[in-house]
Amino acid sequence: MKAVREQTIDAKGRPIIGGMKVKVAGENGQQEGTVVRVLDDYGVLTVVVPEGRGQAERMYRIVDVEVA
Amino acid sequence: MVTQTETLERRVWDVLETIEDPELPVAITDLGLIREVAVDGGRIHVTMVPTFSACPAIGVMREDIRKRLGAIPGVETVEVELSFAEPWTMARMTERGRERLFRHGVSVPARRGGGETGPTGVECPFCGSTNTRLENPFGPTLCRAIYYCLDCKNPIERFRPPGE
Repeated sequence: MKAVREQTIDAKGRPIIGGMKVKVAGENGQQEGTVVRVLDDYGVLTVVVPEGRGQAERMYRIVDVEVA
Repeated sequence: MVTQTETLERRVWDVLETIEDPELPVAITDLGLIREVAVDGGRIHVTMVPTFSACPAIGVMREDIRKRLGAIPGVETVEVELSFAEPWTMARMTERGRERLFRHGVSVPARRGGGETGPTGVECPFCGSTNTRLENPFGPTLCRAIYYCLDCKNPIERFRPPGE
């Protein structure tokens, strides 16, 4: 299992850490979520996004998100 | 502190990084085919973006993902969904994926178009020349065409993204 750094940068060089708001391209257009974890060595992060009336954790590639 | 969910998330990506496209010698993660992964307790939902909507390898990859992720301890169900909301483009392929294809003798288009020179714009993965010509737009798979290098005289496979 790889080591994991807890922060990364988005495509524009802006730092991303846990708790930050990011934009994610979803099935229904772009949506906003909050970063929970960054698994930088895998190039992915976990984001809490709205789902139905609640919210859910989803993992995305770091290159597919940007700081909101 | 590493949580159980985080450990499972890491295992999921460890496994996804070992699953290759059966038609290309590159991992599905490096091809950029994985768009979203949800880990909810023992339930895993993977959303994939196929390179081509009619890609015949997609069924094999879906089944591979189901089986391999399903073998991780603690995983109860695995669903693999295809997404066509946003088309796959070359920009989704990682640099590592591009290098692997090139090392395997498959020429790869520029990331966002442009930057390629020569009569066809196709770079020979064997000698680096762009003095190449199209031999056959239909290669061994839907996503590959056959070119010929006029300098080193080798036939070349060229990864052909959708729309090319």
